[in-house]
This record gives sequence, structure tokens and C-alpha cells, in this order.
Amino acid sequence: MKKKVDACGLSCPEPVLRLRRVIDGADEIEVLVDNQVCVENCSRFAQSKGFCVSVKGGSGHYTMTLTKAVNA
Amino acid sequence: MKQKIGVAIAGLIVGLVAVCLGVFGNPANMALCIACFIRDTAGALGLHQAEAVQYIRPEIIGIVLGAFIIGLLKKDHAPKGGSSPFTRFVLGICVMVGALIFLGCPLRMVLRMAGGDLNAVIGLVGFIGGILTGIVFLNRGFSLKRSYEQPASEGAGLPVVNLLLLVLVIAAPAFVLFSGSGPGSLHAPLLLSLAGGLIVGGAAQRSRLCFIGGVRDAVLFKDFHMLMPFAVILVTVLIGNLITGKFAVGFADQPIAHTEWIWNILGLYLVGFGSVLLGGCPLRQLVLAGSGNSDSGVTVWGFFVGAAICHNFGLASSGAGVTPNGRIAFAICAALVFLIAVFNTKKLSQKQGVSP
Repeated sequence: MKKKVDACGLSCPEPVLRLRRVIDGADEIEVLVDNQVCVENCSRFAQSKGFCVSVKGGSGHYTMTLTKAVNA
Repeated sequence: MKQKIGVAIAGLIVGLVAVCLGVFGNPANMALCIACFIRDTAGALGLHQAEAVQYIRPEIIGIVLGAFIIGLLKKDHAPKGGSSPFTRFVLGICVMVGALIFLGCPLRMVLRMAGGDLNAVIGLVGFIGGILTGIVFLNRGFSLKRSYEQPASEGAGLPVVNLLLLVLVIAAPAFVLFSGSGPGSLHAPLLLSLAGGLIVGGAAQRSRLCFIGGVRDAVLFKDFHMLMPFAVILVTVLIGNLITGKFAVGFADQPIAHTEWIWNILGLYLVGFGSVLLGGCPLRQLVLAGSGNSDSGVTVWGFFVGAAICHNFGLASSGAGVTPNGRIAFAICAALVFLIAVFNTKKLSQKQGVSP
């Protein structure tokens, strides 16, 4: 099931903490953040948990799609 | 890997700038210190009357403007604010009180360690303890709530103030106070200090350099990459000190430092705890303020007011040690930070911010 984390307006580490709460057992997660730092930090954390990361958007509105890697 | 290399390079740049500024006249083991340099700037503007520590430090101006310029160039300048500004202001004051009890921010702690000052190594214990205390609250749901998009003028606030400070330090009108002796009188040439600040501000903006983030992310997420600049700065400045003959191991007679170990621990405990709640160390707050974050701008004003309070009310330590007022101030500030942590900690419901 696809989960969604809305972390707009929050600064790190809060978005990563919110992501951490849902990442175990998830196959696909959509994360909404509003700055590059959070994109970088969430990406690093997701990749360390075996997720592939794709990012869309810019200028204060980013949608990250995290997908569990097949061989993870 | 790319980010690891990036932060390592940023650490190398900061280390080299620190060595260079030390060689060209900044105080020993204080080539770069956010707390001390904001304190000096506050003194130059007459916010306190401690004659030995008054100078508008171009490094602070450079860091803010460097982050501002790089942020604009890289489209990473985002005016934001509204995340508990008054609470952040109070935390800024408390962090500054802790820093001036220890005599330095986390960056100066590293520089002092690289100079052989073992009091800073002792202080590191308190710094880590403070970060761990903050992490307990982060794990329980601590938040200063979300920020919101702001007009461009709000994000440009602190950079504009620093441009005015640059005009003041160049023009040196009579109402700006400059130390004739003491640490405030020791400084590298203005243009070199400004250039050093610009370079550090730019490098810190791109690499997200943060002394709190290193330990915090290592504990919270087993993400060790931000510890890299900590180590690189330490090694770079250590080598620089060995080459320039400025390395002396010991507790006693260290430059602008005291040997009261318990207060070195407690001072940095307060810095670590408060900075975790703020989301970044004093250097990071300057860089964020330069990148348009007005909440960090308010925090920097908290640093200024904290520095003024420290010197007006006799809270700041000196080489002779901690003052009685400083001990009382520590107790008050530690209680304040603890209360702020408690009152802003609310366990997230399982569904909050998460769907389905």
C-alpha cells in the first residue's frame, strides 16, 4: 500500500523522523517537502533503507516517490 | 559518496580558512568562532561595554552574505519563517549563555581541540550529552512547528543588516567601538576576514555543514556523513598549528579558556541541547539566515542579545574561570531549554502527517 508523508514546512530532522515512522514494511511512500535540504536528507535515509528515490518539482514544492528496491 | 566528498571538502575549506585567519592575526584558537565573533560585534555596536571584546567581525558578515550569494546563484534561497520565532529567540539567548560559559561555539571547540586545549576535549563530553538530551525529545515528537513561505524582504532581512554592518566596519564612525587591547583588538586584515567569511559561508551553504547535525544524524539515523567535516577541520587545523608552532597540549594556560572542567561540560551541554532544538549549530543558523530563513535570523538576534546579557550582567567566563552570575545563568537557561523542550513535545498520532 502506498503511504504518504506530508512534511511541508518542517525542517530537518523532522521530515526524516516522520519518514522513519512509516518506512518499515512499506513498499512505496510519497513524501512532500518544501526544501532541498529535506530532499537530500530523506533521500539519503531512504536509500540506506533500500529504497529507490525519484524527485519531482522544485522551487519550494518537492514530491519524492520512494520505491522499495526489488533486491533490497 | 558525492555528499561525503562535498562535506569533506567543505571541512577542508573551513579548516584552511581558520589556519589562514589565525596566521594573519585572529586570536589564538579563535580564528573562527560564531559565538565570540557575534559577541565582539554586539560590543562594537554598544550592546555591551566589555572593552576587550568589541569589533565588528567581518567573518560573521561574510558567512551570512556568502550563504546569501551562493543561495541565490544555486536557486537555493527560500524566504521562510513563522516556526515559533519567539521560542527560537529565547533558545538563541540560552545557547549564547552556554557558549560564553565554555568560551566558544562548537566550531571553536574543534579549533581549541586542534590547538591542544584539553579543556575543549572535556567540553566535548557535555556537547554530546546535550545533543543526546535533545534527541530524546526529538524521538518523543519535539517540534517548533512548521514554517511558511515569506515575502522576499523577510528572507533578505539579515543579509541587509550585515551589509550595513560591512559599511560600519569600513567607515568606522566614532559611535562604533573598537577594542584597543584584548581579544577584540586581535584580528586579521578586514578584507581577508571578509573573504574568509564569504568562503566559509558559501561552503557551509552548499555542504549543509552543521556540528550538531553530525552527532544527531549519526545517533538518530546511523548517518555518519556529517561527522566528516568535524574530523577534517580538526586534522587540517591541527596540521596548520603544528606547522606554525601554535600547538601546545594541556589544560592550563590555554588561550582564552578556563580549566573549570565541570563548567566546560555544562556550558557545551547547554549549547548542544539548545542547538538540537533549534535544528542546527550557531554556524548553521547564520547560514540558514543568509539563505532566507527568518526564523534563523531571529535566532541570530537571540545570539546578539544573549551576548549582551552575558557581558552586561557578568555571566561570561574568562581565563580566570566561570563567574557566580554565570553559574546562576546556566541554571536558569538550562531550566528554560528543558521547559521549552517539554512544552513543545507532543507525541505524534499514528496518522499525523501520514496517510493513509
